[in-house]
Amino acid sequence: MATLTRTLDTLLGWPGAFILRRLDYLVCLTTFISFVLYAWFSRLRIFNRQSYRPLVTQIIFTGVDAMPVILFLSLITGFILTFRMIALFDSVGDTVTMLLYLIGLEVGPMIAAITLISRTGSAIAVDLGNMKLHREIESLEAMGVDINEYLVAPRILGVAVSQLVVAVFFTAVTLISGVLLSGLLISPTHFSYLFKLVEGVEPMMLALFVVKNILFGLTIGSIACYHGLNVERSATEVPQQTQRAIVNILTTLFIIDGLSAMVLI
Amino acid sequence: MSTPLLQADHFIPDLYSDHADPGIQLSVMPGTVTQVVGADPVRVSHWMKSLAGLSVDYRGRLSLVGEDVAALDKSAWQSMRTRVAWLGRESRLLSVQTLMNNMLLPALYHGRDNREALEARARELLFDLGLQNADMLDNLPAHIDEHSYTLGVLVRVLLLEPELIIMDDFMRFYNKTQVETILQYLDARIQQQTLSLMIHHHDAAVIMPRAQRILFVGKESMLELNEAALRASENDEVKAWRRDQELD
Repeated sequence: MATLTRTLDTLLGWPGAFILRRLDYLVCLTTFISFVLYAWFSRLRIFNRQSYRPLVTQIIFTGVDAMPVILFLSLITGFILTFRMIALFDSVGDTVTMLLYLIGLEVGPMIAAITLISRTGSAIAVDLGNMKLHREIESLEAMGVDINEYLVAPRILGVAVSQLVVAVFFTAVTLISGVLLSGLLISPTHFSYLFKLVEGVEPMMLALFVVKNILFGLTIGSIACYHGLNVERSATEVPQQTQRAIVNILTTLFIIDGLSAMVLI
Repeated sequence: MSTPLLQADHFIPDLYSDHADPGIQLSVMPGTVTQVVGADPVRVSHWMKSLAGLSVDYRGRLSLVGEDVAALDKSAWQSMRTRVAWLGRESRLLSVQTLMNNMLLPALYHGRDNREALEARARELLFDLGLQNADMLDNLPAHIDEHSYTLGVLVRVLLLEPELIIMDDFMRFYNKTQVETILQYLDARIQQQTLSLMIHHHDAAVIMPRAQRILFVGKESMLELNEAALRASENDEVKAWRRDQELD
């Protein structure tokens, strides 16, 4: 009887404990982001060159340096998706809308985000984790340097800006390359999709694209920073927190993606 | 009458909270050297870090450069940290920045001067402090020797022009000549009354001739002595420490 009671307690308690842990994580993460962004914007650090420089560096590392990889992925995706979709749906219906929604609002942001997670998200978590581990951050704080302003906010904002830029680039190359391929291999009339795609962009769609990518970028940057700074005393915590950061980023991105899909219903 | 740079009233770190000790009364004035010694380096570090305002766990009142540490807001605390510097065993440079960028970072952050002026000042300080080879200024910390690394950490603090430096065995890897070079540089500023030093060094005899006051960190509390009183003390802990330091 006691065993049955214990088993029932465990089974019934597990979902609650799981939910409470996730809620606690969400509260801690939200508080962390609020403090960081407040530290940056309350003192208008964008006008301070010393704080502005890490932001620019982050944008270059995350956005500019990622362009070769993004170009390659977008050309491949252009062939796999855009070209194939035009071939399949041209005779069926509204190919333009389908291309814009699927490539522009779903595939583009998600592939850009996944690329940034693997390049930048993990790098930020490891970078900050090692700084925390070796007490480099503690030394800076002892000299009155606000870590949120100098180290964290530039990373979060840099990734957010880069995500938007990378997603625009990826989406444009994917669509254009697919259309060109389709025009060359199937029918020259398909070149007209280049103009139809531009005409088919609606304000709501554009706004959702921008908001979604900014949210993706903020998510990647803030969760990576949060977990990096959670490293305490042991070197084994660095890979553990990095792994947690990547899993949590991916989970959150899919949740945001699902919620954004509901906006269009 | 100048304001004490450090004023501790009934002060005791929380490590000792079970004891009935009323805490210490301590004032550090400009242009002075206070040496901190003790048999247990961990205990000494804990006291020094608490007196530097870097620990929230203490009883009593602690004022640094005239401000009650417990009442400081964020901005005031950041400003205070440029005037009261901490150099501990664990003080590290950022591994992702070059030695020069590391030295300039806090001074640029606090808007002390432009980059060119600070670079020139940093090079001048490194030369005064005994750095022979300036070639590694553009290297990452992983690629420079320990001596240059330690000087880099020191210059990073000196560029902020602090009024009080609290140094916890910071020069433990240095030989006596290197320690003397740094102390002679700091002596000049101390004599000008622009700097005070609170210092713990594992080889106490090196610092003792300079110190106007010696604080002995014991198991129960902290004793305030001078060199003569320290050498003549009949306290068992002090005697044991003197034997370890080969001062008897």
